[in-house]
Amino acid sequence: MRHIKLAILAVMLLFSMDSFLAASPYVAGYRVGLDGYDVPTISTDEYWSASLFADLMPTSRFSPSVHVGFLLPPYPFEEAAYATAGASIPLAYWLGHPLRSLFRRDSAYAPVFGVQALFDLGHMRLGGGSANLQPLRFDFGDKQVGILSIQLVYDTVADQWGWGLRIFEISHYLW
Amino acid sequence: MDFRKLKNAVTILLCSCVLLVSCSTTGNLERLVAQGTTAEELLRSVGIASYPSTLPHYYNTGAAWNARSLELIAQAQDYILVSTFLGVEHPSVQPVWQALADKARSGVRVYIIIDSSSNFQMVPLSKERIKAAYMQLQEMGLEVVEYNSLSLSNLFFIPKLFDRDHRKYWVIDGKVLAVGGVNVNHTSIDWPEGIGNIDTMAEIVSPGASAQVIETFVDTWNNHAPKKLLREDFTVPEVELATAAGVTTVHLLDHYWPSVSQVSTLFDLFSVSATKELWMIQGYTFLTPALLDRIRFAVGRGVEVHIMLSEFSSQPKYEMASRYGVLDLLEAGATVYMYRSPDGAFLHAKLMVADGKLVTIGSANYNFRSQTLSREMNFIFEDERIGTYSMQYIRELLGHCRIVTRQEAESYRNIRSWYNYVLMQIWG
Repeated sequence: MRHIKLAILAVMLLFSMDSFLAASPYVAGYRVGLDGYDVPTISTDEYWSASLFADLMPTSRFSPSVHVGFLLPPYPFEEAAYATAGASIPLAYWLGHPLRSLFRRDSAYAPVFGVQALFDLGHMRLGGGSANLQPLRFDFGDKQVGILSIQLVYDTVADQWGWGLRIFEISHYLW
Repeated sequence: MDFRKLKNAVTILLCSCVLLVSCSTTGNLERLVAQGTTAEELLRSVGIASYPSTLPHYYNTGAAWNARSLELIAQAQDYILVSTFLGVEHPSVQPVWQALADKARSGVRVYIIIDSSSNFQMVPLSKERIKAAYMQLQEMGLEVVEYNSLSLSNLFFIPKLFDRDHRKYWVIDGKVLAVGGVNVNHTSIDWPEGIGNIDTMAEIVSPGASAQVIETFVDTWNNHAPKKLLREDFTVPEVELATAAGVTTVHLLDHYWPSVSQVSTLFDLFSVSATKELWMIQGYTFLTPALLDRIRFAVGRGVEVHIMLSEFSSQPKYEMASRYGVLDLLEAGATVYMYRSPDGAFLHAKLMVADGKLVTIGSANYNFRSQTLSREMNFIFEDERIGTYSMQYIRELLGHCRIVTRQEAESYRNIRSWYNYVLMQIWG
């Protein structure tokens, strides 16, 4: 509970650091997603992913991005919650993509590849690591939306490989 | 009693008080007066830059600006940048969209930014929706960006939902720059028919100000579109400003969240600079404690504060909300005028004049949104020639005004108006 309070406080503090973080172009924001896993020591319930991310080269379309956050089960006091940290990089950036007419706004097709470490907050130990491929991801400028990304997960506790699926992910720039 | 709950309640209460008090303190104003801070110093302290400029030319109705914008579009040879809070699909604005599309087809680069609030436009005095222009403009071959598109993903951080681009500006070939309150929508341009709002766009030639506005346009565009623009693709030609029309200095306010509130500084500037009279023209105002304090401060220094509001708002809820606050203005010591256009037009201009010399005109409203979350752009001039012209315009408006009495102001204090007043603190 103390950790959650601290995390909430940290996020609020970050949101209040307006004037220094006000930047052009956008460099950072929040990201939310919904995950499911087939990994021995991770629950098969869905997990909400919430994180803050920052672009390392904000003016580039191929900017690497880093993120820190949490992976929260629907019942965080009964099942393990995870702290997460990772990085990702776009693999392509295509403005004239064939699915553009599906969206009201201008979009770019921008699939990404990323890696992520999971830290088990219940047992205070490294829970695993994953490599993620997000083949259906679209950039709208101030936000990015991805669906159906696949994850290859290594469970460090059970010493076994498993897999996961991120149903959707929205990244929204704030600063 | 649960001590922890009590502690939390007190904390929340204290935070709320701090928020309100921090907006309403006048200690800073007293310090500015005591130190004799000049307008230039105060504006520079919050990043408001100044540039040489021609004297501004005012276009004082939506229809007048509409006609001028069509002329400017016809004259454009290289590029046109338009940023408007509201841009809609409506026959009244079709000539502007069509002229822009024709120009784009002829090879002139045209880029338009429209705020996502345009999705909530209504026919005046009705509940009939009017479509935002994005789709139509795209179909016409125009490059358009929707500023901070309203979507479910905004719900994870609500303040972002209210980050709105309220600015209205045009840049033509880097030469002509116009800033003001006129949108590219049906009410601004054509309600009532042939007149539109009583509203002002101020047009200047100022290479420095144009360069800054182009930079802010490109930044805004790049933050909201996947297709990026390059600042260096928009050249600003050298112009000889020494014309018969005269030269002045323009201060360019470009307020954006979450940076320092340049709009609050604007109110500070006018309340500390005025020594005799302060005129504040705006159709409606959803008062904040901060603004009331600045009015009280000016009145306390012997300044006559005159505030002009307007009848004929396009939605009754705005009028109700605004009128609820009139009593507070009177109690703060201001004289309140109600403008009633003989044509039934709404006074949408946002103009302030202090001592007939310090003048601001632009998009900033006298409300919480403009002081915080909305992006705003204003010109500020300290020039008696512009002050004289602005006061002449105010005197013309006064010909159609009545002074609001305390009795009338008290009649606006009812539950329905209060409800709208509270709602408009965020929504209006």
